[in-house]
Amino acid sequence: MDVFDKILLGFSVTLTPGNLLFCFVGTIFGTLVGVLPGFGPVGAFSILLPLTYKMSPTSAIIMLAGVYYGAMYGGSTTSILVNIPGESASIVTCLDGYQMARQGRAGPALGIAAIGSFIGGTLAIVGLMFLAPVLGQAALSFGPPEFFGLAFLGLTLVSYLSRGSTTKALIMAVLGLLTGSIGMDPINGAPRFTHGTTTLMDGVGLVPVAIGMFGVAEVLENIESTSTVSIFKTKIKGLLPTLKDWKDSIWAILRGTILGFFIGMLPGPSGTIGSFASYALEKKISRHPEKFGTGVIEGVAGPETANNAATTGAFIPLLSLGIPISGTTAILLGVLMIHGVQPGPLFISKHPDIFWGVVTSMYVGNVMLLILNLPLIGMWVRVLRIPYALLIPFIFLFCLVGVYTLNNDVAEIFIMLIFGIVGFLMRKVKLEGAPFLMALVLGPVMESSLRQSLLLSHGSPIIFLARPISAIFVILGLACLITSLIPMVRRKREDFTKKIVEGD
Amino acid sequence: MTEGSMRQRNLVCSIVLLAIAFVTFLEISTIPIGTPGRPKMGFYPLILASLLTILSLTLLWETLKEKKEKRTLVRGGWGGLKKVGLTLGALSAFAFLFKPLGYILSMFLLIGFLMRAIEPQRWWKVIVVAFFCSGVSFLILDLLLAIPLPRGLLGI
Repeated sequence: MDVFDKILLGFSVTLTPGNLLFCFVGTIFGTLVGVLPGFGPVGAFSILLPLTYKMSPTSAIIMLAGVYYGAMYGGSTTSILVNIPGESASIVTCLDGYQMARQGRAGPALGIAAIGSFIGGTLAIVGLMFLAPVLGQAALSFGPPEFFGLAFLGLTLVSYLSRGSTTKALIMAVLGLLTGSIGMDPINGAPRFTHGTTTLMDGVGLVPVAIGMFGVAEVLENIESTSTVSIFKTKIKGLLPTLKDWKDSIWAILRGTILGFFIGMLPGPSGTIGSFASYALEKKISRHPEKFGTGVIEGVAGPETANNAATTGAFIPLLSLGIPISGTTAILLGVLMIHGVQPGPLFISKHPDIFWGVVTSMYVGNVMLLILNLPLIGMWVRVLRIPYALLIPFIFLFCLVGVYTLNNDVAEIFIMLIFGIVGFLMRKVKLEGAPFLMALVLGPVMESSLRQSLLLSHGSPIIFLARPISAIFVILGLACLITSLIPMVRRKREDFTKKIVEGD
Repeated sequence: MTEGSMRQRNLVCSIVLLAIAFVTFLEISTIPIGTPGRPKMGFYPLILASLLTILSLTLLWETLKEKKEKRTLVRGGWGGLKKVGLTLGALSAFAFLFKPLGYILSMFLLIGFLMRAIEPQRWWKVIVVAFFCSGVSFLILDLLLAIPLPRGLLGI
């Protein structure tokens, strides 16, 4: 089957009425989530999770992928109009987007954000189409040492690239791996740390942990700091950019696409890093860098394109290697596993309908977002005026139902609540949830590949360095750990992540 | 609005993490560990508990050696804690009452309580929204999507 046949297969899956509807629901819901400050795609996944149980895995991933990239579209609306980023990936859009709105150019800012997101998202899908199968094919030769090396690299990278302290991120990764070791031993099937409870025999579920740590904790944090949002009052007119706007932003859009796509494949908050990197690049190569921050359109076009391209890039390690690189992709992996589908090197050859269906749905979803979102901007602005306190009961309703209906077990609700409290307290100490969630997913793979490798080598850890691919992964992972200990590198990294956190 | 220092929080955090590592070591002592050549079920958690101990001590050391001028204050960290406590209490009560009271009644009470506790709404609005949400969500989930939900006291 050549690429053309595969694309045709994908469209034959995507263009069924059911999948089109799920794609539509996902993108619209994603935009809504992106618009609402303090509520991210992981929380949105929690809400939609119960609906996915009855769906086919293809439809479920089409809908959730729509939420993921839809949120990136929506995030720019609040950045531009309210100076509050709907998503962390839209923080940098506030700098020039809000200034444009203050100068009466909210329309072109919103327009270029939507068009840039469309171009970035669509071009990145081409990259996904070609790169994911190649990576998947290469990973077919992986044995236990390579899988261990890959998981090790993934966890060290996500810790290295996470915001704030590397030590704290590594602590979260180790805690996630420890939590993942609860349940049946992956080699001999004996129960471990279960204390005789049947709920824990299958391990601590990804869904209650994710909903608790991200959904519940996020809402609790918002309850604690309920604040009212004041919308900058301006007439939104002329959404379509002028010829000059196009001239100023087209190269920023193309550079943002490439940068965002490749950064998207890295573990960590890739959308956020992608948008910051794009802004920094545009400022660096601009002939008038001093104007950045005063309302230049390149400062909106580049970052908004990059964060959308990054969401597409994030699907590559997930679908071709089975390695989630963020909390959001960890949940997508969990959803596939609930449906009995295991992402990894064999995923594309075993489930071409799911892979190509999801890929082509992204084209359709991006077109839907572009067509719908420009005329709907007025509606999203009105949505911003809904008091958050009114949304809270509904969010909890879906979280509770989502967790309970997974196994019809009330114990899962308690697990969700425990992790909700843990997640809330973690935020107080600036401990990040993403490394924990990734480690929870990767834990069983890491343990079985480590133990199998040691059995093969009669206990010698040299096996991880004796095989070239695993050696590259392990050395890169160790390099991340070691460089994060060098004071100068550490300081630079912390300054950069501080900027991301504070939106400086 | 309260003020606290991140240093204090980090200190407490590292002590809690050390306690988690200690409990894990206790748990591991009850299961077979094996050897590097023949690792058993306690082998991998032993490595993780050791790593957690090292990292917790690193965090403790980093916190203790932090220079005074670099210490950061955390403003308003526990301000709305009462509302958070009420919400968590309501969610816990929901979990306990979910099966005996059934989905519709327990959800009605939860939504009603949250609407009054977080940002008090008018009673009529609370009752209408709670009734509508619990009823409609039950219809969608149980009847339309065939997801079995507990019937409880009401038996519907």
